[in-house]
Parts: sequence; structure tokens; C-alpha cells
Amino acid sequence: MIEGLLINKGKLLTKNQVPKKKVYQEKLIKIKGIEYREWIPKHSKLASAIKKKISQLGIKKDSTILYLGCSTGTTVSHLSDLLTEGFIFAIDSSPRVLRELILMAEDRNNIAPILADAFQTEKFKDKISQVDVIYQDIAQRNQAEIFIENCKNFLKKEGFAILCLKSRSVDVKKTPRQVYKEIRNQLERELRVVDFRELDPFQKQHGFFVCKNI
Amino acid sequence: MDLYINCYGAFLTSKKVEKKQLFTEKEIIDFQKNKIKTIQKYEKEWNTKYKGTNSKLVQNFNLYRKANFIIAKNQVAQSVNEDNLIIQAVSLTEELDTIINILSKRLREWSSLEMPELANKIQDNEEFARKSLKKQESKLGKELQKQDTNQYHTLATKIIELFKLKQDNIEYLDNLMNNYCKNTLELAGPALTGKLLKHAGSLKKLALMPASKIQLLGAEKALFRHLITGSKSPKHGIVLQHNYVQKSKNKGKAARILADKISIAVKVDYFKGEPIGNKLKRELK
Repeated sequence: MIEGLLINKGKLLTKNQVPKKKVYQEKLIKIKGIEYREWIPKHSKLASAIKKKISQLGIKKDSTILYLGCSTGTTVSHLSDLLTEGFIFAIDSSPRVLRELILMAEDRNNIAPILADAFQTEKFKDKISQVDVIYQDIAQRNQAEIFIENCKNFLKKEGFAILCLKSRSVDVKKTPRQVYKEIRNQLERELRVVDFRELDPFQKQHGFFVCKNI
Repeated sequence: MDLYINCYGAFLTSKKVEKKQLFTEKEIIDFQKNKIKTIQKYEKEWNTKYKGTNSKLVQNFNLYRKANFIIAKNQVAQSVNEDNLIIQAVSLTEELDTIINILSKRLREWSSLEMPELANKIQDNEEFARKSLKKQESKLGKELQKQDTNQYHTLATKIIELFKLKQDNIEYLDNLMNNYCKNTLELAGPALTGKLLKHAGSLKKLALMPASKIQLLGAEKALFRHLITGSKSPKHGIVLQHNYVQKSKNKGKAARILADKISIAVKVDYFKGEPIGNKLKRELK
């Protein structure tokens, strides 16, 4: 799936960039002298999408990734393990969670935490470059709009864009299936949707879109 | 020759980099705050025209990363304000209440072994903690040894200290809010104002909320149940704690009126308008 990702007895493992240090409550597992961190699907939507056998993600070991809605950096830390030659721009609007991300990212050599609102692309435009992959995990009503706005501004041609959709925060009255269908239509006006998965039972009422910039 | 400036340095380029100046920590923060000033400074110094494009910006990830850490740390440090202090203090008040209740319950059980009449007679926790330090004659209880009595006496003194902490905290919070959101404080009282701020996250968020949302703060569960299943809609959230709503016969109507007034007061507080708290309070009656 992604280069460097190890699957052992049904568990997803990434090589720990900072040995002996945990980021959240994951387990550290040693195999043949190399330390790995367990990637728990219940904590990370990307891991649960891989568990759900998503066909492609477009993440390589030398990709630059724009990560919108990084929170305290659970998924970011695993991506940082995988991207041995790549770089991650991690954006979040809340200072509280960014504080923890900064403490985590100081030990690692490929994360840049940025305090900004993901929808106001003008404000962080001068801080980031064009990227290979955009990954978004923001639980807001207008999450699809934010996603498209960022793809227009920062995504390279042939680049991949990944959207974690929390259907609950788009519309509570509609069923998740209805929401997925509407968002898919909205995305297909700008991008090509190459794969879709529902993340149940790991993440409730979440959809996972993989798109490609044409 | 083009001058090209990003967050970690200034570069003079033709086809390759001719001249470069990496920023110091102070310059990085200055550049973030006032970009034009830095650009003008280097334009003057190096006698060139400014020309920079976004896609070329991050060329050296290592330098960029270091500069970005300085910026991000500065931004996080700057983001601490009164909102955070108030929310911490409000949370402490709520937590102290539960802690004191749990400990007082234990003290009552413990001291009842020696003097059960006292626990039965005095309802107030603070007064009870004080009285339990003095020994009283009792026929229902058994006299304990000194080491056993000492143990619950220590607990009682700790509870008294916690009451003092709670009192200090309330005064501190009152003082803090008096400077920060005076009108809302006059209208809604310290307990409710603090809880509203805690629920909303900050004064800015509260000021941007419509009154109907303030009315239902704290009743999210009931609201979403109403939206999904079509059950009865909630009429009030934490505004129910206010005296005006409690006394009123029609609580839904009172909550709506109070939320309207709070909404006005918060907006005046956030945008620093003229004092309006007393006027709004009079209008309530």
C-alpha cells in the first residue's frame, strides 16, 4: 500500500523514527531488532481505510503532504515514520492541539506545524509549497468546500487528494449514504474520484474519498 | 536581479543565488508580523525589485522547518489570553464542587463512628467540617483511639482548605470577568457567564453566536435528538440556571428573552461598546 508499511499478523506497523518514544497509547513492537509502532485503526482514519483495503492512496516515501486538521498528530506521526524522504505541512486552527503537535514534531525531522484556519488559504499561502498529496480530516459542515479550495490552490497535477468525511457534521438529518452521494457529486465537478470506502466499524459514519487531480 | 524573501531568509537571484542572508530568530518573527517592512528594508539595502512566487517558496526543507518552528511556537504563545484563564478557573470551580462533595461524604461516614449525632444535625458541609474537629459527647458512637481520630481530623482540615480555595477562586474569577466581559457579568451573574464562556470556547465565538444558539448551549444532546427523531425540541440549556428563568412560569419564553439579552451584552463586550448591562437587566423585569 505505502512503501515501508509492514503488516504483521493483521496489525499495521510503521518503523519508529524516534525509538522508545510513544505518541499516543500505541504499542511498540520489536521485529528483528527494528522498533515498530502499531498503527491503530480506531485512532486513525487513514489506518482504518488501509484495513478496509483501499486500492490506492498515492502516498510515496518522498511525497510532500499537506495535512489539514492534524489535531494532536496521531496520524501525522505515522505518516512521518513512513515518509523517509518526504515532508508534511500540518495545519490546525486550534492552539491547544497544536501545542502538543509541536512537542511531538520537534523530535522528528519532517513535520512543519502551522497555526491557521484551513479555509483561509490566503493566510498560509506563503508558508507552503505545491504538494503531491492533500489529506483532510476536518469535522465541519463545509468540509468539502475547504477540500476543493485547497486542492485548487496547492495540489500538483496528477496529485492525490484524500478526504475523510464525517457525515454527521455535514447533515444530521440525512443518512450517511445520502451525504456520501451528494459530496461525491460535489467533488466530481473538480476532481476525479478514484476510490471510496465507508470506514465502519472502525470509525462510525465516516466516508473516505481518494481523488486525483486531472 | 530579483530579490526573493521567504520565512527563513532573503535571497538575491539571477539564474542562481548571488547573495543570501538567513534571518535571525527575531527577524523571522518580525517578518511574520510585518512582511512589507522587511521586503522594503532589503529592497533598499540591495537595490533591487521584489519578485517571489509561492511554488518556489520552500526549497530547503531543513531551514524552512527550523524557521517554521519559531513562528509556530510564537503564535501558540501569543494565542493565550483571558479566555483560557477564565475557562481554567471555571473548570476548577466545577471540579472543586464534586471533589468537596465526595470528601465530605467520606468525612461524615468516618466521624459518625465517634459522634453520629453531629452528622445528622448539621447539613452544611463546611460547617460540619469545622465542628467535627471538636470532640463531643455521644452515646451512640464509640470513642476512637487518638491515632484514628487524627486521621479524619486531617481530612477535615483539608476540606476546610478546599472551601477556602473555592472562595478565592470565585473572587479571582469575578475580578477577571469584571475586566473582560462586564456587561454579561452584570446581566447573567458569575456562574452562568463562566459556564457560557466555557461551552462556547471563547468570547469571540460567543459573540458570533445567534441568540437561539446561546439559549440552547448545553442542550446539544436533546437538540440533535429533536433533529433526528423529531421529538420535542429543547427550550433551554444552561441559561436555566439563571434566577429569571427559574422563577418564571413559562421557562421556554423566559429562556428566549434572557438569551436575547445575553447575546446583546456579549456583543457589546467583545466589540468594546458602551456599558449596557444595567439597562438590559432592568428590561428583564
